[in-house]
Amino acid sequence: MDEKRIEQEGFWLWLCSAPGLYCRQLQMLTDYFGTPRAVYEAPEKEFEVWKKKNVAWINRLLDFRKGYSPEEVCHIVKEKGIQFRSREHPGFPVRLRELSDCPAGLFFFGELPQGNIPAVAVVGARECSSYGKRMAVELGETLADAGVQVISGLALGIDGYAQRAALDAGGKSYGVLGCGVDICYPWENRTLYVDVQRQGGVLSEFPTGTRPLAYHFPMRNRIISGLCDAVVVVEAREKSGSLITADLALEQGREVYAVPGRSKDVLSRGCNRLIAQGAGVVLSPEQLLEELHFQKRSQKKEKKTQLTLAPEEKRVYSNLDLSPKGPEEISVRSDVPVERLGGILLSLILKGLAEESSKNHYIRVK
Amino acid sequence: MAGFIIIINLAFFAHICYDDITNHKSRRIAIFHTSNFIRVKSGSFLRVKRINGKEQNLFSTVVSAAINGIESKKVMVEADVSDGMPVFSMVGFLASEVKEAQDRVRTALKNSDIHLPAKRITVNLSPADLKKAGSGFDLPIAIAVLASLGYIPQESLKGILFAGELSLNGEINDIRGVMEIVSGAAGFGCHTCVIPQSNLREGSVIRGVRVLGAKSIKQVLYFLTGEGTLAETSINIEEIRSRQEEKTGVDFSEVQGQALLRRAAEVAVSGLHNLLIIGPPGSGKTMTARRIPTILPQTTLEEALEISKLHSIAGILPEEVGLRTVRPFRSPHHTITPIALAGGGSCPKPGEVSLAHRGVLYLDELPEFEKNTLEILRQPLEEGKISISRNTGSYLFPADFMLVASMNPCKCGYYPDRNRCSCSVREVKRYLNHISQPLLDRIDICVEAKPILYEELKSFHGGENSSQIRERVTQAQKIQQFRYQGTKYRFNSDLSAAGIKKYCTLGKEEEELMREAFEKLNLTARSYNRILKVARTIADLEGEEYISTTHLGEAVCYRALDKKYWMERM
Repeated sequence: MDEKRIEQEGFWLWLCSAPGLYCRQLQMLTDYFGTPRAVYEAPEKEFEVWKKKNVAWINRLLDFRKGYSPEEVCHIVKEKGIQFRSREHPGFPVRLRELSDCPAGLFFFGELPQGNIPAVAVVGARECSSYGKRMAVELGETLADAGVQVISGLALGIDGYAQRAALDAGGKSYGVLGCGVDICYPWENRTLYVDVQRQGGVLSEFPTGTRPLAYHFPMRNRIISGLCDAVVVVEAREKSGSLITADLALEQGREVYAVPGRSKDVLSRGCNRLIAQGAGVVLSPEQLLEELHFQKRSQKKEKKTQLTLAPEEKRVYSNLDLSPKGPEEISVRSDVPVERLGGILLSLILKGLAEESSKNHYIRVK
Repeated sequence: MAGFIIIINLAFFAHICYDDITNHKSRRIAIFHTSNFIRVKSGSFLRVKRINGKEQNLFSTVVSAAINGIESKKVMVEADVSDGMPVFSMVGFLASEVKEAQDRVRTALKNSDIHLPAKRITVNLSPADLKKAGSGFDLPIAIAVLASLGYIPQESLKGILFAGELSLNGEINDIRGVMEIVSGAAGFGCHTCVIPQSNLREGSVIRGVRVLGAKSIKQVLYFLTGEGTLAETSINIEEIRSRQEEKTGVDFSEVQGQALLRRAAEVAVSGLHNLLIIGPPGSGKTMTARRIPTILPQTTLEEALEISKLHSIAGILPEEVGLRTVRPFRSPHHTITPIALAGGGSCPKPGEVSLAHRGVLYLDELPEFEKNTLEILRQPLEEGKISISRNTGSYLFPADFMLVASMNPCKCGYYPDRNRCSCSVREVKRYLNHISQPLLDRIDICVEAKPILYEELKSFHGGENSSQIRERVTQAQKIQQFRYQGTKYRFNSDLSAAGIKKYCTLGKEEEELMREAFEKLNLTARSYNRILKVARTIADLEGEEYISTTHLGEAVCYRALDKKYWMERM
């Protein structure tokens, strides 16, 4: 029985590795032939149906069939240290199996998300504001702290911040890629790409070596939303990939939450619209946990130790918030001359109360 | 009787027409060469050596000078008139503008009613291995030719240096580099310089040499034969200074708000640190940069002379100025070539870096400059001079300037305001990557300029003016001069790692702060050193002996962008 399954997995791996074939085509093939093994072993004339339709992918499949045997493919993938689970494997994520467009198999590094542990996707804009960054970090931290698996797309901006925060809090995080699992995209997140494999995993339905093409990402998004119980959109423009994820999540019967923002902020318009359409509102990460009925695992000690601040420091601190401010603005509002402001800001930064979000722009941290 | 008999000999006929400018009276002088003497019709006598046969004055020498790089070199202009085919030949390693002088000289003399005889005229400019360029040799060539023809007594040329360009009608036009020529004259053993009238103010700045301005070749001839005088002028340097300062017309009080930028500029100027201003369009980057020369300490006389000489050689010293006491502000466009920035040409002329000497070189839109153009800046920023090698030799130009650069934070200019900027992180990085790290390493102060806020505008009651800021700056620089007496340093920005250790000592509390900041802010050793240098300057500006935590905090605020920390990292 086990041997048979291993053999089956080999054929699944072979079929999923065929370049240029996506979920829909794989579904069609397995529906027609019954098993991936049958696809490999069928005589060429069986494919006439598609050949007549003159579809491009069928020739690619036939070329691939001629060029690679399941053993070869298995060897290549193993050599790269990549693991594979077909949808028939018992270890395949349960949540995904429910989907109508469930991927035929998943390539991954590390491990796959576990079905019996709650999972939340945190998604949002790549070019985020420091408000978005702060919210993503807090969500990632709180969720990881509650033992929730944080799932996202390993992209720049919100995705990356949330995942990084989850890892830093000692939680588990999973990155779903829109390219082959052996390709690190975006390159800027290479350290995250490596770290996430240790505390979770990187997964993709695309064969190894697939390039990150634009139309892969909506497909990737359905896996993100499919893998989790709820999707949280942190920041999104009015036309945004994160909104696609939210739509898919609704179709898949997942909860959708959005972090509200100011109505004038371009980056919050998508989120605010979601809320208008009935998405849940994230008032705070803790409130989100309650809403989802997740238990806080470690009772985080409320660090309310009153820091003693000098009067000027207090004035400056009270004028900081999550939108980055320049020294002139802080100086005018807090009535501290610019010459002394640098010293005060430095001491606030060193106390962990403020941060320089970008050159000469300061935000409040706590 | 013999003295008054005029024998007209057509073969030795020469005719000169003078317009007496001083008397507004035209008088006509005819000079008749006879075999024995020259007589003048109107009665006045040209004191020319008797020309008769063997004693004829056929060879003459005149002193002039060539600008070689930024130095003037003595050039002897020799002329010889001999029998033979009527040719005007010139030798002596001449650039084409000097070769063309023969046509100008001949025509100018003709139009001054001096007809050259049909003789072979040879002009030599020695030393023969020095390339002679520039238009200043027309006058000395003309004088040498006239002297060898006997119009001017050779003795009267002793100790006089001539320089000037001739116009076809006999007038003398202005030339470049007069100040340097005049200041070199004493070294050539000259007591008098005859230069174009339009360069007279510039030349008169130099003391120790009598400087005369001439408008036309006739005036010079008159002067040399004792018939007339040439213009002289005296220069009052203080008066020039006050007049020029009024004229620049820009003042720091016009910069509204921008408290941080103003302060950063003041600190930068105090320690002569290079400054980078980052900000969106319309935040007053250029406006502030333009006012930086007004808060630099006043030029000393030597500095003014250095600036003026360079500008005179480059031909950009205005005629009426004479001495440039205002510090230069050069802002080359970003399409500038490396040669134009560094200086060059076959006979190298100073480039923008040298024209900004003792002033400010402002590079607007820094990332738009070609990379190899910016690489030129490395030597001047390090050594305060630039060396240029050409086939005519290698030259060293002074280029001790304060670099002020400005740039947008990203291509669209509004990062990190995400409501206006939609540049991707990658685009922002690509934009910043245009600037090379070695250049950034030489910029100590980097500050962000934000668009002015309404609150600032409202609470703005006219900022300090330039002279108030200048006072503080001058004081801070004096402290540095005193501290660095007898060392190789002049300003805090010059400090090397060893110098930082010696002069930027920290107390216990300060050291603790920097240790924490080093870890928390991911500082590098290089940025740490720069923070200390800037903190030293801030302490000097406040007149304090020891660096305090406030000074360090402010310096941290100005820390230059290390590309690594410019963008938030994953």
